[in-house]
Amino acid sequence: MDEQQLAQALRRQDPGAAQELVASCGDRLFRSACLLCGNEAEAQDLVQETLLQAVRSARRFGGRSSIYTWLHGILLNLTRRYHRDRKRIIYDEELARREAGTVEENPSRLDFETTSGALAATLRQLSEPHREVLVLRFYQEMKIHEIAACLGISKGTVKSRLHYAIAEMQRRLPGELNLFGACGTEEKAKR
Amino acid sequence: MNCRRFQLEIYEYLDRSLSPRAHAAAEEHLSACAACRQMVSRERQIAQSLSEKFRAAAGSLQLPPEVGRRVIAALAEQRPAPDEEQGMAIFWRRWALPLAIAASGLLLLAGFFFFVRPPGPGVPHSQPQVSQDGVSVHLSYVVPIYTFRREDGFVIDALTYQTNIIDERLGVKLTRLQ
Repeated sequence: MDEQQLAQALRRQDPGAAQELVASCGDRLFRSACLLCGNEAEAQDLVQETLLQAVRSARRFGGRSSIYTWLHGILLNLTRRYHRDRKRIIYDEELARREAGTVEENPSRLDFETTSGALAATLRQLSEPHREVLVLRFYQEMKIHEIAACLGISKGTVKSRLHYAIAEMQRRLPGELNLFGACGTEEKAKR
Repeated sequence: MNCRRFQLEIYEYLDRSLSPRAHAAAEEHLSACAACRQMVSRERQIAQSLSEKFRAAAGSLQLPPEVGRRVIAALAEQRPAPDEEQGMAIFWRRWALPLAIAASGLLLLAGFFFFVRPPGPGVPHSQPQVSQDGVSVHLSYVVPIYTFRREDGFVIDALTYQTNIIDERLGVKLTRLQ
């Protein structure tokens, strides 16, 4: 099924279209969601909600972008909401812990967090706008104008965020993982 | 093209999304400027390094099959609405507001036309007639009625007017005050 056929099948609410969507875009969306939210379990929920929203609102898909770009736009919106809610939950949890007077152990980490620990941790420390441009640019391999369209911001803002996000990654990544490999420390100092 | 201009457009240069003319100008500048060449090289290195790190971190992840099954199951639970109902729902969603605005406008016009306009000659409008026996009131007013109905997927609407007349004779004995 090509893009156009899939879009038509989605608009018809064809049951096969949802399966096709999961098969063609599920893994890619999931990887992006993991990088954006840094948590595999949350990423699963985000992708599930993205796919459900997409199929339910398929009639509104105008075909101006690719299906994957459209899905990724929904994922970005859900991820922003997730981060907003998470801030609230963390605040509530801290309050509850203080009231209970107990110290909680670190929550168990999932595969993504343990295998790609340093990168995931560094990404988590970035602000959300900086994390988004990095993932879109270097994982999704989008061009500047595509990122601008996807995030609804100007190209100048994309370039500015990208510049600061790269500088921040370079500053925060540990020596052996920095952007210039073994001789990175010198380059890091220059930037 | 100077260094400042080139550095503003370096990402577009790397994306190959500059116009052919601007790209040629950038190439010409690069051939003469070692500092900008170094900057291009560094940006390429960063892009390659970050892409590799992202792919290494997330490239092997796969969406667990149960997520896909949950999506498909959730969608199957929703009963799809019949086409005709969906068509009408879309129609109403699109046209309800314009229709309501048009209907309100018509009502306002009708109100202006029938209530503000002075009565025609010889038509007793709302002037009370005073006689020895009491007061006779003749009052006429028009009520605009807007109706609409659905028929074979179309909405048929109509604006009609109903004239109401009140003709009352109040049996109050008036006494002339001297």
